[in-house]
Amino acid sequence: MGTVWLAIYILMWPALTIGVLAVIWVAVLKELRAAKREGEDAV
Amino acid sequence: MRDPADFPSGENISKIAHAIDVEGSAVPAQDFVQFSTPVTLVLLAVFYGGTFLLTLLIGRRDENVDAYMVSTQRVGFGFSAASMTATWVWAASFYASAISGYQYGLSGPVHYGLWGALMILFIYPFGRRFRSLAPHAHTLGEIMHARHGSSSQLILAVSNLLGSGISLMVNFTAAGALVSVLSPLSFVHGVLIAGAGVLAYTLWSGFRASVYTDFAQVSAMMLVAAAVIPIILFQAGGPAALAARLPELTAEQLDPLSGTAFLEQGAPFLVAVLAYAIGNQTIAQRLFAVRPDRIKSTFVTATIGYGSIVIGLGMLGLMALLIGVQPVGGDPNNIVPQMASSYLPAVFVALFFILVIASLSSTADSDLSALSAIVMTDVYGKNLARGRANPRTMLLLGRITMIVATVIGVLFASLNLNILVMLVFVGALWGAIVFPVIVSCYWKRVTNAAFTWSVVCALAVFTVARFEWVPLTGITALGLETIAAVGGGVVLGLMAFGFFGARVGAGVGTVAALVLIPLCAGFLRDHVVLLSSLLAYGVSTIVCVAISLASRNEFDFALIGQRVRRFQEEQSTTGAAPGRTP
Repeated sequence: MGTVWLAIYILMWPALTIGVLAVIWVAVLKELRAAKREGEDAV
Repeated sequence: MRDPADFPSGENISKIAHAIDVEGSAVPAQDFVQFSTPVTLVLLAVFYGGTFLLTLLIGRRDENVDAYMVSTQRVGFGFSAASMTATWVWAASFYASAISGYQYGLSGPVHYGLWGALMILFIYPFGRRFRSLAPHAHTLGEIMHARHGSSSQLILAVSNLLGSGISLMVNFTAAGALVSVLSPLSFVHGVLIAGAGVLAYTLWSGFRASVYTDFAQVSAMMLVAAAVIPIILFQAGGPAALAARLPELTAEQLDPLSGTAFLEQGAPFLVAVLAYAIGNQTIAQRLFAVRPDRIKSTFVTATIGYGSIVIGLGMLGLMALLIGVQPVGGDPNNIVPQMASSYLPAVFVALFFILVIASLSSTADSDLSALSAIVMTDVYGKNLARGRANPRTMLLLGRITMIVATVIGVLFASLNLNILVMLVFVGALWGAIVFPVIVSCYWKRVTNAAFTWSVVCALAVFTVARFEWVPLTGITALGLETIAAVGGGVVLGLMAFGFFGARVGAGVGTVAALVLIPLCAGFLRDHVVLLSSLLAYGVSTIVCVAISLASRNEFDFALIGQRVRRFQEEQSTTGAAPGRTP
């Protein structure tokens, strides 16, 4: 395994983590807006 | 601090409890960054104070009893996925993943994190079935009560109570150890602060508070994890410097598909994949809370989220191996704090401290919510009140349960009691209930006797094998290995069944069992933990199927939905004392 592959192998996980977090944030934002619009609790 | 698959084998959870570490004294504090007492207290106050303030945004003067356990049962994908991820990741997850990376090299973190992540994924097909049968359920035990009656329900309830109780205790233990290692405060101080902090923000709004705060906690966890991994990589010399050390690794450590890592790390997880998810109310609770059409996306996202955090932080172990770090005191459990202390600026060490506290607190608040739901629903609602549950009494009971559970958890954690035997039995119980629980939701002929006797017999055979009450030699060992092979087939068959239906499941299970029988013969007797775990699956399946086939039961599954109702609705139709609905 070369330098590039090792870097990818180690750094792909934090990149994936950020990706998942972005998906969650966008979804939560939409849910909060929808809850506010309908006058209900999001949770 | 949950570590999914380690419960079933018992010993592993003990190791993981030590990972954070129970005794603290084994770790010379001067080898790690030390926060002063005021700094530590400020960090904890900011974390727990901020979390508590967050819950004030959702707190109501009068909580709805159903919402206290499962929210509106229409929670969206974002909050649900965040909550599942936060609950599933606990401090031990990344400690153990890093140890795996240090020990097995390239494949270690993957073999640790992948199977833990797949536990979330494999349960969702069954989760959709549970929701379709009982849209208003609060616990899995409640469904079993509607399907079979009290004995089956209580078996499930006891296994859930023990599991969440142990998890709670281990989380408090982790907090104590972390505080004692990184500050002048003692282990007991850390346990007490964590116990009081988690209880304070969970007590009033229960599950709703847990889900709401999980979002903030998982955001903190993911941000810190995503930041510290590259920082440590480049502070340690960068990819080029680490790659230059690769030739010093053994062939096994260089193998990205290491068979040793799979057998020692991955296989025990595989056996436990379904057991943990079925046996744990924290999962069921989120399953019953999420919008039914968002179950799949929630569980898939949580699978990827858990995997990326845990495997990513496991890379710290791989980096430590490549750099040549020697764990303090020869204990690999010290690798994570050593790497953080050695390569992170002080402010990031503080953030890392918050990451660990967030991971253990999010799991602990889920455990408190799970424990209260079990006592409210399975003990009070379905047994003591018998259909005449008073929502006010129920809520009071839920809150008292949280207080009592916290006190017991703090006491057990502070006393550092040996819980290994209890863990062994909880693991066995979880393995024993998987098949009866799942098959009860699909097969009309399963009876209460089939459920109960299958679990009892499985526990008995497990105990005999696990503690070697009979010599594991000759025809006895061969017989047990054959049944264990059937257990292996059951595990794989159920996984296939969840995704591809009954025919494929039965086919995969049968073929897997037939393949495993010759492989297990003469082999499993030397691996008693694996043998006994698989026996729990095999025996419970054989007994459950045999008794069910002998019965003429034709259960109407529509009855489950009729019998499992909201409690807040129930009180208005039964005439019990009114509880105010917001």
